[in-house]
Amino acid sequence: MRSLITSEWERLWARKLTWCLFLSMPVVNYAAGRYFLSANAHTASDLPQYAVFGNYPVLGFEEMLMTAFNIIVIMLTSLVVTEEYRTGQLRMVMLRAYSFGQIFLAKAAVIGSIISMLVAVYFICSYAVGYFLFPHTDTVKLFFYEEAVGHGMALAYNLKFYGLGLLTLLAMIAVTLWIAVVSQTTTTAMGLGIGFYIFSLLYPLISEYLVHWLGFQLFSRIYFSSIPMIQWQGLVLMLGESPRYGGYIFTVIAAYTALFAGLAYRSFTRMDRWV
Amino acid sequence: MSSVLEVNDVTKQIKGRTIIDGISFSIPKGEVCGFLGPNGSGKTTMIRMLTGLLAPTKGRIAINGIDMKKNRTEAALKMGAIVESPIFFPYMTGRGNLRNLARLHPNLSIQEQRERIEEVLGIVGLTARADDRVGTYSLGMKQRLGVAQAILGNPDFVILDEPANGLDPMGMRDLRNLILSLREKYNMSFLISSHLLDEIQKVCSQLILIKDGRKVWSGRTVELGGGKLGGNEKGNLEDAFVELMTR
Repeated sequence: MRSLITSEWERLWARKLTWCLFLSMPVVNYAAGRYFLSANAHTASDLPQYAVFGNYPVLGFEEMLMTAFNIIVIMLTSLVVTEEYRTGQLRMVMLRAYSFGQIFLAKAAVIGSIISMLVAVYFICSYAVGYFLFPHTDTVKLFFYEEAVGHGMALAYNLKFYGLGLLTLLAMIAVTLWIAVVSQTTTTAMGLGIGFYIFSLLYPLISEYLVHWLGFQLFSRIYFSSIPMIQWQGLVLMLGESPRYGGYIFTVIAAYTALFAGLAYRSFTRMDRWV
Repeated sequence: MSSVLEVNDVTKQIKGRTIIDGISFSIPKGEVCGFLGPNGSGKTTMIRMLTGLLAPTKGRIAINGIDMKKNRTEAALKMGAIVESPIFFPYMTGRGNLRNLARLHPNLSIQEQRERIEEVLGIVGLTARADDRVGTYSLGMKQRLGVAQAILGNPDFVILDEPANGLDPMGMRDLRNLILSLREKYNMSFLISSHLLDEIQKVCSQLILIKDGRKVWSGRTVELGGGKLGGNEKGNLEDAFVELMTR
């Protein structure tokens, strides 16, 4: 199994895309920094959305988590699974002495590892960009906290946010893995992945119009059943001074991961391989 | 003589349609066997089942006595294959492709992997171009790299699906000599599917012919091409093949 993962890992790093993704992290982070720098001009400095060195890592990641990182997951999974599978490249691996289940698990592990590394690089870049672009204050305002907190606590909060953000990306990987396995072409896989992403953005927004009819409790359940909405608003609610929706959001993330990873595994291992 | 491949009453049905219908045959060790049939006869489906990419609806396939259904991973250790056409990771060099696949052979240490890669590059005559990207290779070089991939794990049995497709006469001769030398030196057995009957006649000692998913003939090549088939006295494999397929 270790050899299989090493082989997958080597192939992924032989692609220009992987290097481009890592090299883009500082650029994407700097772009987010410039955005928050201009937003600061119109934001009161005592609000948590006012970017300072201590809270920029979360502010910058929150925006990119629900946009750039989800798109990266869709792209990476489509290329690593659908492209290799449907062009027949994966046949070379399938003909070797490994079960199809092992091949699937190696692919999932490598995609998960690369995304984890990208998140870690983004975290480090956030502190670097935040250090140079934003004011250094003694205390940091966080979302859903009454009082500003010290830098140690802000760092712990940031780490928790990145950890939870990574969990949502793993759920997204599970969904896109299933899409990638059942899609006939890379274009279809990317199209369906983007379609799922847009659908996940749209139905919570539509449900906002029905909140009077649905009731607030049902509305919030529907709203936080969407991965991008969890990334955008759910995580800060979970990490607030009085955490909210924590159990529900964990259940949703676990359900997405288990259901779609299970479906993807089943499809990959059971169906005939016309590759 | 013991068999390297045994196929017993194998059937494949897809969406209610029978693609392969109760085929049985075996290949003795050290034999080069041709697998012939017109387009759509089920050759590639059969080859996919032999390599474990497809599961038979019924029947048993064994490589060196190891049941493909019960223990595919162990059976795969004994086998190398090119299915349909050799395919590579285009963003890697020839050596990079082999190195990546050599990692998947659990019985080879890293040093042994390196030695084996150099050995197979030498066998297929690609050492000088091993560090070039696969995209710059000619068709003949790609076929040879495909063979190198197939024999990387030092298999007992190699399946080559249309290995001479698109090759010029020199490329075909090189490939033929390569197959025959691998059989001579390493006692490797081959199953070769091809429409190039002249090549098959030159290299294969045994033939299996299928049509509409059924085996229509199997035996020594000389028996089919050598004028034993009713009415065909010329010993020409093409004539004998056409006669069998149009019956």
